[in-house]
Amino acid sequence: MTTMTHPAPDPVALYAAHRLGLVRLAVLLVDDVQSAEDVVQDAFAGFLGRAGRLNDPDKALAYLRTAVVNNARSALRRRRTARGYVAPHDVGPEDPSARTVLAEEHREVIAALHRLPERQREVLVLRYWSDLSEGEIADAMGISRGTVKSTASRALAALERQLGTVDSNEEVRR
Amino acid sequence: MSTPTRPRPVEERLVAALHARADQLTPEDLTPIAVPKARRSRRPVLLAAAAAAAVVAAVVAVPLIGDGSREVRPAPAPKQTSDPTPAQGTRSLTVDLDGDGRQDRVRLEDGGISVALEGGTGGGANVAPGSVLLPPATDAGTENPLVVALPQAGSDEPATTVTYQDDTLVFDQAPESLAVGPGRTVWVDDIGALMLGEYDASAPDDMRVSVTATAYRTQRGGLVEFGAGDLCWDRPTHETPVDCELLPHQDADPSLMFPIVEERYPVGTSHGSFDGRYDNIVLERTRDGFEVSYTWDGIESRAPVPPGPEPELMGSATASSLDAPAVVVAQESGDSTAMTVYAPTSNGFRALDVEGDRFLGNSPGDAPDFLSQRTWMSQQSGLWTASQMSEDEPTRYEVTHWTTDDTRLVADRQGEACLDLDRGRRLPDESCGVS
Repeated sequence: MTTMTHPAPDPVALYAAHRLGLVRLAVLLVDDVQSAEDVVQDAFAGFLGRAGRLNDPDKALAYLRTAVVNNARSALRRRRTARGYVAPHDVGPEDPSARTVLAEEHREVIAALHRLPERQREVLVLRYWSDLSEGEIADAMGISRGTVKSTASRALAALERQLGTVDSNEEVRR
Repeated sequence: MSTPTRPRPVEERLVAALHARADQLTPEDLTPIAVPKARRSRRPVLLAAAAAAAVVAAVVAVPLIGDGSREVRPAPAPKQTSDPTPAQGTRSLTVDLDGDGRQDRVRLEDGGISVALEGGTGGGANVAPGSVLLPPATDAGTENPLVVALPQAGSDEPATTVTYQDDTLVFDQAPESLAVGPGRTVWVDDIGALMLGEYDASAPDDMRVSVTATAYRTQRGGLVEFGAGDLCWDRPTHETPVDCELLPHQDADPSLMFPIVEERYPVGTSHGSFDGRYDNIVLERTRDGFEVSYTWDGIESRAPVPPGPEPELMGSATASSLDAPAVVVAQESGDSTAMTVYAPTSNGFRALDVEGDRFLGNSPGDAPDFLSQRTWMSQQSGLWTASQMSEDEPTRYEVTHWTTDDTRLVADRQGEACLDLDRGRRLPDESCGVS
């Protein structure tokens, strides 16, 4: 039987090409390398079951990105205590990536990021690290573009309040 | 998210920090695990988890306080399940404990746990008499699967864990809280997490119960508890608790109706679950009366409370359709309590209208449509009303589960059921003549 569709992306090649980037995305969401690796591994495992239907490499990566965001959210909810668990924002001593010390100014921002509500954190990471457009973020998170816009706006405002980095020109631009 | 002529300082700091944090992680830092197709021992577990997640995704789109449109299936035949021994317990199992791709054998014998690695080495440790082995926990934060030998109910000895790390078999004691007994069950869930569930031990064995779940994960060398939310357990038909949405629908489901949340928050006291800087719900006194102050994602909204007695916050209900909680405000006057539900809607944060202008709250009787009525929040974030219809059958109620349609509360009628509302129980239908 012949087919006119693209060949299904090779999961092994996708894994090799995107695992590091997806683990980095996950670590920004859960801030724990081990959990991040689990999140990505689960995303790939889910992808394997759909690989035959995701015959566009771009769609495959979008699927994996969405799976990472969703799995990271599940991981955080699973680890949160019933009475309010505060996600760790310090890099743990056994974290392999802790060999290089994060500058204090960056640690402050990462800590503030992890004090934001989940959805705000996800939007900021996808926008400012993954460099996705509003439309791509909306697709990845299953929300409207308007919600992406308003969530990002609130998230930045909250981050500014926490960091005390209100721009003196801000009022002029608004 | 408009693009300014130049980034705001907070954006510049955020971009720099995100890249610095991400760049800390190099290819060498990743665990040298094989690509998915080579993970033969773990892959079936992961695929099962993905399949389970897909099932959840298919049914999770429930409205605010409940779902009135689920398929109605017959209730399962009850059977007795008072034995607290985990249904998953075995005396021996095989698992790739050391990650070499070969199955190793773990067994309980003569008061001990013994491990025989396929590579030729092994080890053992003493365990409490009568212990059982749980399925390997593959999502417990350990490099390799974690096997738990769980003592029987009433044992004073802790559970024993075994895993393989740094080329060594490591036997350890689990926290004392990881134990079975009345109202406590331990299991390994479908994605390999080690779980403890606590529920109302006095609930009849054939009744579905709400379960408060705790997950155990290894951190810094020891098992640590993490709250895992509420689950439901249909003990006659399921070995372990599951997500409530996965259970077949049952009208007046006791695991969703009970336990009743009794907490109330007076004026000036923030709702216990939402008392942070960015999420906060509190009743405030104004010059003319009272207002609900509702802060979500750092944005505050306000809505007036109807004139009347001093209000109290009751519970809250998570609004999946709105991605924000609704909140219930009670105003008690004599024997009656009127309730109002507030939520973010397409018309802003406001009090919701009640379908058919039904009275929402508690009433001792003498209403035209019912003898007495009680409205409550359940642990599963549900809002329920039970209306007594017959003077001869004081435990016979017409049950309503409330759902939302943007600005309206909609009644999802659950039919009649026999209830003991003081104890939070659904009684057998025949006890009050429900057919």
